[in-house]
Amino acid sequence: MSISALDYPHGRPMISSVAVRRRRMLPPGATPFVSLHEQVSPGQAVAELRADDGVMAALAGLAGRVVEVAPGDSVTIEGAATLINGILGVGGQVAGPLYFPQRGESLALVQLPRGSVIVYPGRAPLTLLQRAYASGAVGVIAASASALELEAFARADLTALLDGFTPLGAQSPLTVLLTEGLGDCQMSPPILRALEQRINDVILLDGQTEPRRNIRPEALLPLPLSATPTATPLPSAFTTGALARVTAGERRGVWGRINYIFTQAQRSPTDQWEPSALLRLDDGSTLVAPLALLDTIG
Amino acid sequence: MRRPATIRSLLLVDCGSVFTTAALVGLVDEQPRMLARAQRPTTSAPPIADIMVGARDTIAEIERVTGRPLLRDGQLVTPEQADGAGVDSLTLVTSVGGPLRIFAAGPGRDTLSALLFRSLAGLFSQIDPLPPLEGPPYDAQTLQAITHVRALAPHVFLVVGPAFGASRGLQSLDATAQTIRAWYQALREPARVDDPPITPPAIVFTGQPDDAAQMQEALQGSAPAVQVTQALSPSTLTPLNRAIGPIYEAAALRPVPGYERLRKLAATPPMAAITSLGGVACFLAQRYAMNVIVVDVGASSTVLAGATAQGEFVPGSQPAMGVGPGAGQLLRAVGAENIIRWLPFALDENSLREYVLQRMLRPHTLPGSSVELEIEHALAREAIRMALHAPGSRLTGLRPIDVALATGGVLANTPTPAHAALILLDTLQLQGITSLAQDSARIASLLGMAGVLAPEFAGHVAEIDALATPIGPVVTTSGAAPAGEVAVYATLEYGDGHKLAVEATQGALSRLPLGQGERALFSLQPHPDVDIGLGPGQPARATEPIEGGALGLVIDARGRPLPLAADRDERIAQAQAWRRALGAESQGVQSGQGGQR
Repeated sequence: MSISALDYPHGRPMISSVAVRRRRMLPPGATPFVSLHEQVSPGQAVAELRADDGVMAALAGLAGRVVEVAPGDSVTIEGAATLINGILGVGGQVAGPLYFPQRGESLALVQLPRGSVIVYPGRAPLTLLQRAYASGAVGVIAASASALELEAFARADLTALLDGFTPLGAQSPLTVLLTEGLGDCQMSPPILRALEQRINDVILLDGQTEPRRNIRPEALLPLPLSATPTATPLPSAFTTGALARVTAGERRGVWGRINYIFTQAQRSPTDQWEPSALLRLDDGSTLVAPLALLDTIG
Repeated sequence: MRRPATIRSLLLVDCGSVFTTAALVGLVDEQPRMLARAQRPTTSAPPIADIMVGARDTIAEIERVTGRPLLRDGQLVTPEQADGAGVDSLTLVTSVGGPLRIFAAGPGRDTLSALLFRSLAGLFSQIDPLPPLEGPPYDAQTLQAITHVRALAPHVFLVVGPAFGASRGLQSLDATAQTIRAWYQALREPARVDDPPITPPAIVFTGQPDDAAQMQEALQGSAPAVQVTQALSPSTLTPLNRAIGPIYEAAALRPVPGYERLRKLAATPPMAAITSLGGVACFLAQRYAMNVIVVDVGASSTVLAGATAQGEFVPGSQPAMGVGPGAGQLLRAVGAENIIRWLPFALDENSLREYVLQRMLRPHTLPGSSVELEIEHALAREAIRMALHAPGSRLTGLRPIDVALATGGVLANTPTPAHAALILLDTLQLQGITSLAQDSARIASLLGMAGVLAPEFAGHVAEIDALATPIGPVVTTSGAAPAGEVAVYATLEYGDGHKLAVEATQGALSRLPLGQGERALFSLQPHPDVDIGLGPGQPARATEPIEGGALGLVIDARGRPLPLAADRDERIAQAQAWRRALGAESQGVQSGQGGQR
């Protein structure tokens, strides 16, 4: 039996090293600072915009080589990165250093560094999003958020956004990536570990989400050019031994290793017959879960 | 692949937007029967981006279940071999590329809209008005309209000429040509840099020859050739349908990765799911000389295929509303309150939105709990209601509905037949006596296409396998007796001579025991203010025994239109009572648990 998890465009929510080529869009009127074939580092400004209130720099966000410069439009960079795909995002492409707010600090008062990407491993409250925006942060990576709060913050109906109807006047004030989606979920430990290891590193974040074309929001954690990239997409077929995570229902977020894939459909939690797998969870217990409710994560 | 002379076996494939289904039908004791069925996710988007992979996996599952080799080196083994390998032919039903997206303009668009929708109702198409547009620079509102149209990626600009006898509206035709020219320019130039390229839509004109010539001249050099078809009138609905139909494959299906290879396996051109379901509805209607409706709620679209006893196809569909990727459009169209009102527990709008968004974000997922299943069924109810009243639908005039068949991912795969029955009873405006059935084999949508190749073969399978789960006859009342009073006295006289008398109370659902295969004579005496399809207070007595089903004989004395209580708690109590009456309770929901997700 061959059934694949299809939620992520590269087969998995996280890939430790991939070759990437990304176009960094420049703000209107910005002057590129880099030339073709030049090597750039993630924190390097690739363009600058002089305005009345000062100078705004567009950071590379990636370590790599410049492969295309379109003055007034974009700079394209090729490099290597750790790729994290979220389930839902809003907002465009931004670059900034990762910042973890101190635990225990009141989100209503916390000072967040200007230009940073805030990481919040739980359900991001509206206060955090508003505080991040007010502080001048450029992005937030959180595990989850409430639908209505995210809609209020993005000033958009998310169902319309996902159908591709982007109201031009209603761009999200900052870029948000939810690793687990809507509701109340904690960030999966491997993704949290990968982010924790890169505190203060400049990363590239993009909130674009189009489920019909399986375009997911992404965070690219730059790697040196010498890093060996993995071929993508990674296999996402459900096989014995694969790590899988439950994506919906009362056991959402639970993960374990696939012990067995049933040859016959099993009764699901909703009393329907579905192709299913037997998972062995961390605590040694087992769980029969429909394949339609699973993602392969390793 | 060539059409075989005789058919002994068929492989039926339905490549939907979310799931691909295949069924093998062949001869069992010389009778055509469904031998196996399998379903796998459709693989049209990354990480796989090739629908052949999902189709091959589905066919491989059928090979595994039956032990019958069907594919060799990616090619269909055909015709059926002496050792039982292969099949005589493969048919393809598909909606994988989404509906044909038509934007209508022209001086006759609004005056002829009823005819326009009727003409195209049997196609898998979505018709929207083409907004007015002038050239750049664009203001914010215009940019938003352009983004909206780009997101829908139009396949056809349909220009409707002025109605026969109406003023030719020369200026209006010129204005339409100007609008189309402006749209061509706007679609060529993306509003955002990352917008995907749009294939220029085809232009179809329906109207008088003089007007067509004027339109062709006005668009010359700035848009592709205009395809001209006869003017719309009540007696000329077919020419437009025939002109638009072939564009579907070229515009909506061919761009899907892997489509050409899948198409080559089939003996005949593919058919849209709505057309295939229509074929099944017409077959059953003619076979039983009754009015039939087949209801299919899918992840992306909802299709109601009705047919009159004379075999006339009466479609109604919502091509972009369903319970998966189509749930967002449904929610925007009907609002959260209209969905929540069907639930047997309290739910806040945020939880509903989160569920809907979750289904849009993970198209291949399914409800993961009883609460989620109830929300999915509430979405299905509204999707059916929207399809019933879709532009161009004449289904509300299909009276009486003698047979209602529940099929598709949501209705054919319910925990019990009672769940499907309650959804149909809540949404179809039934009156009098209707036989409900559930296509638990989920094969109906595949059979209409098979009927083109082998009508008798497919008809036999439809009768035996698609109607495999009779839910039972239902008596639906309209009008209302005073609350708490008896709406209908029903008597059943079983084959062994014993009788059962039941009083069905106004506002309630009642079940009388009559199992599948069991037969009984019945008589009904309604309250003077209650109508069971023969007029208020008119009794009915069957001259032929009726056959029971999974729910026995059901009397739905809730009245029509369905009286949903205005107060939330009362409405929840109603929903719970109706579920209890039919045995459609979901574990963990009736007690109110899990109401807040």
